[in-house]
Amino acid sequence: MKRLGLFFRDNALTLAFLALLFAALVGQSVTGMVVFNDQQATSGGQPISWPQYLTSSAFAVDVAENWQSEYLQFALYIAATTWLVQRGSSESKKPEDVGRQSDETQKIGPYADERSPRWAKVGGWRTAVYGRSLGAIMAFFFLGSLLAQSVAGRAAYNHDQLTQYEDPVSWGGYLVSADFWARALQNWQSEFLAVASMAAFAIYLRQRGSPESKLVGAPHEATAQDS
Amino acid sequence: MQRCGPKEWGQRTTRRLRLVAPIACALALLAASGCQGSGNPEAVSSAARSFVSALEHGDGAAACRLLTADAEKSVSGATDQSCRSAITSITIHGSAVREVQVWSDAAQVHIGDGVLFLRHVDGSWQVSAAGCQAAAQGRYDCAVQA
Repeated sequence: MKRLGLFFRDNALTLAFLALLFAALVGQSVTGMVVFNDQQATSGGQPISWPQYLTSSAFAVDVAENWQSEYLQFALYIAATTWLVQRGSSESKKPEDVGRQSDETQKIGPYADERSPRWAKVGGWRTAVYGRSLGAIMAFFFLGSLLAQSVAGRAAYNHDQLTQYEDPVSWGGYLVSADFWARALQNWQSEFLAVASMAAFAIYLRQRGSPESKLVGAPHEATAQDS
Repeated sequence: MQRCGPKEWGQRTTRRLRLVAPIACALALLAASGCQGSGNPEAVSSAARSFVSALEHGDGAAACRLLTADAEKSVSGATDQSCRSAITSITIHGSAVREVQVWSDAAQVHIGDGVLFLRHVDGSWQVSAAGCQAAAQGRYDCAVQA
């Protein structure tokens, strides 16, 4: 029982956001079904049940289009913060640390210590891969989500096309359609805004106790590693 | 269907991979929802052939029974004639099904020299638009449409 309590305490951030994800998905699926069934009534179709909506392309594309943009945000952010800095922001390295940094700084190969991950110690391609694994997995899920969006989006789009007496489109045709890019770009713009806002606000504003913030008493010009 | 549960990854799987697997599975499920487009093209074709056959035989009553309720109303509402009389003005030459597209509860059939649109209503496929002529940008102007 004590171990379980420790597990929840040690993983509270991940678990809390997974719970929020689940709750939001349930809410999205219920409200999305109501919207979908309104559209069905307008187009002469029949309402569908909640389980049917959960497995529908309409629900899938709405989920996937948001997931791809979130993973794009993190993939870009992880890569961009290697090379780009924001002086004074807790989200940034110091300007003189721009780049991939030395093996010694990164504690890899001969500079690894006993507790370093094995792939950080061994050198060669495995260390090279491991040194890019965080950005790579985000990019992988971005591309996977984008693929899922394109497949589910085409199905939902073609359903709408047929209910409006128009030809369905091929997958390639959907990839160059306004519907696909409107869904993608409307999500991307909000992610880019959020990153820019966080980088800039973190210069002047503080959140006591949060690792996302500088110390409350840190000077504005100090970056995260200075504060 | 590919199984993606934790057991299938085996004991060699690292903790990190076990974190990645559920997300990859979720993405596969999302993409799989797009495969519902395959639907049941044979049932759609059968309904389309029945509709064209009824028109060929001048059986307006049978053709009207294969329309959705909204399409039937639009036929009788557009003229002073009953549906069974008005529907026979639609002519489709040939009954060979050339192409079927099914996306969820909506379908399009290229049959003979015509194009039909259908919806899946109350467990069967019914014609929602007939006598359709291709217009600009993939749109169709239909003599009968719901």
